[in-house]
Amino acid sequence: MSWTKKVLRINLTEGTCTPEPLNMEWTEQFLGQRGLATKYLTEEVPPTTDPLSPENTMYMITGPLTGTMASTAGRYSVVTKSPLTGAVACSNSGGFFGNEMKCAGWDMIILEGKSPTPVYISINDDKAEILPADEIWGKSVWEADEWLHAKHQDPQLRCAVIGVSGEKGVRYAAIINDLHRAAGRSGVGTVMGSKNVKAIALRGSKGVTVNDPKAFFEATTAAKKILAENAVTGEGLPALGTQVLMNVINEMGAQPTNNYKEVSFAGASKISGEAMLEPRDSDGKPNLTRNAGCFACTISCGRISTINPEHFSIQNRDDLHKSYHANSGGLEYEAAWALGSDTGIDDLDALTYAQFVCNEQGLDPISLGSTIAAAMEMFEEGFITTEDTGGIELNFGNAEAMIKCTELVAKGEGFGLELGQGSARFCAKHGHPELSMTVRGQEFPAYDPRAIQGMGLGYATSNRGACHLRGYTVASEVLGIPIKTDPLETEGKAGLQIAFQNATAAFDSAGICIFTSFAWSLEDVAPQLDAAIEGDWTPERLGEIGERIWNLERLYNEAAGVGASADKLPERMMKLPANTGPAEGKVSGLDTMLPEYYAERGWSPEGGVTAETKARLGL
Amino acid sequence: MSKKITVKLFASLMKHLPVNSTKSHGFDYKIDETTTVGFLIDDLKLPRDVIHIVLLNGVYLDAETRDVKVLTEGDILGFWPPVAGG
Repeated sequence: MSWTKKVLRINLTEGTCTPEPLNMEWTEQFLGQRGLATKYLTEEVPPTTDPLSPENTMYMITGPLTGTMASTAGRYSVVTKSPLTGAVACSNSGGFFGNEMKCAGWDMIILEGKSPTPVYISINDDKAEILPADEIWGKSVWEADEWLHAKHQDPQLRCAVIGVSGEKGVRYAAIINDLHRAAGRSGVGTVMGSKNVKAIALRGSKGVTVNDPKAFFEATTAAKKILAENAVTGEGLPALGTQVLMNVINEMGAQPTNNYKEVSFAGASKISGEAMLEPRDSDGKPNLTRNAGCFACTISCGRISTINPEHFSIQNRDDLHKSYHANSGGLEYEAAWALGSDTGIDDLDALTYAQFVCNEQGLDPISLGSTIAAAMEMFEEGFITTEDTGGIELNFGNAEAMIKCTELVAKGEGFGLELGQGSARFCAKHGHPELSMTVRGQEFPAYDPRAIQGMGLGYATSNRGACHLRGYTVASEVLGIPIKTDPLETEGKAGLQIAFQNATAAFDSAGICIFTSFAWSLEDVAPQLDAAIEGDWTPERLGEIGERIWNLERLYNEAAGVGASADKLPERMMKLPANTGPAEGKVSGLDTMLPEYYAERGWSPEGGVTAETKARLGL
Repeated sequence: MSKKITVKLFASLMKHLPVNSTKSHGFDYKIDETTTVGFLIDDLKLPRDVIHIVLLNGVYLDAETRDVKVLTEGDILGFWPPVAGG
């Protein structure tokens, strides 16, 4: 049990909704969520498929623990071929949508083909319909969500929605569920928009059952105790959220600033988690109202924030946008860094406003902020002018300009549509591809590879393009979890990255949040799975599944033309040394780490997955 | 003339900040030729069981080094409890 063993396949070209059995044989090899949907993708979507064509398919999938009482068990993933990278995309979201999907009786929803007109998908337990979305096409996520709730007269309806950015082909459009939780990266919302699907609105009443309720209760209770007693998951994340990192990363000189030209930001403390707690002069309230948790989560790292009522960004927002004057989903570290430090902006309210826009219109704030930062450098270097920007003076530190760009990208208008192609395409178009801080066309997150060496290897080898959530060696290199390693050292980082990448793939396939891994190892996940579903689930087996998933993704990317040839960092990381802090004088040691990584992966010296490795993993 | 360093306290350790500390979480602390990080921790009554990350001018100090590391003029010393994110 725990699996519903049912898949809802929706063919948008034909207008059909067809139930089919879940491939249980594949669950034995790839578990669920990220791993299982990637297996479906590799079997059904040829690697050379145009990501924005009807031939691409989108998989919304739960894990075996999704919808259960395991802590953080509200997760679902969206897997498809990315329009940003051309590689495999897998974006993971929390909130309350994944558990609702499982409660409606579906492990996975597949969207294939393309609807001739805008539609949304309505699912109420077994009943699935494709319905017209003309009234919400062109509306924001928040407006569409409100309309869907009113139309179905159901306050418990759970909606995953794209904004106008996804309709207009912005290549890093996100899918937003529950108003401010996001399947954020790699343009999964763009693929949904290309299929003319505005939303999936779900209601489930069936509940989720587990294989051995007594053992499951014991295993999940023990695991929750570990989370509660851990200083990070029990205290740090609820109090300050991911934004607690801003000052740590900046103080150690690993804070990418001004499009990765520098490694520390003078304004970091003004946009940090600590700053979100400080009362402001206007109304005496802090930016942070409270923390928030997703379904079944016992960590609750989410931020609920308000914007300073006197801030310029919200002076002209009308009644249609009341949420800008009230509590909404606030800043995470990655968003605060990309929209702030990377653009040289230390205005906390401007960043909060931009985050709200990302939620309302379905945008990945990392790719958005990084692309604006690249454009700012292009502007300051004179490679683009106000003629290109539509009159925007796009200098580093200009909060008004960042907000204007954010609003234009959100609506896919003018200069915004050009920025919406991502920094790789933007910089290449204007003749300076070297200024794009990307791997496989996806923008870097918030850790400088010159100051945290393992992360450079992680970005270069990440199957979905530059990403911190594929192998978060920051945990070890900076935070000492599970053991402290030297961030400036390259030795041993290949093995460290591989261990993180494999374990993360297993966590991402189980239906739980990766933040549990600050306290849990696979030793803590295995008993929960073992009690929830059929079969014998050990930490060793989960580790092997993680490795299998990583190699499966790699094989797909190889066939798509973004394998070893894309295992590269921008020239800036390899040739321009860090200019301050402990990493001063250092560049990335990728050239040293990459051959070690290939060897320890059991790949060829050229980075290809070998026949032996494929055979060992049953691929 | 006395020598000074800057001490910064973050996250849950902020409650140990002196009342006159700035918004950037820092305050001045006077040292002499023998002042160690360990002495400073005890002098400021910082909770040793809560301190997890110690950065001296951005460089991590492990638990063994902290007690014996002697501070010098102009040092920036930051303290955090266990934190993570991403």
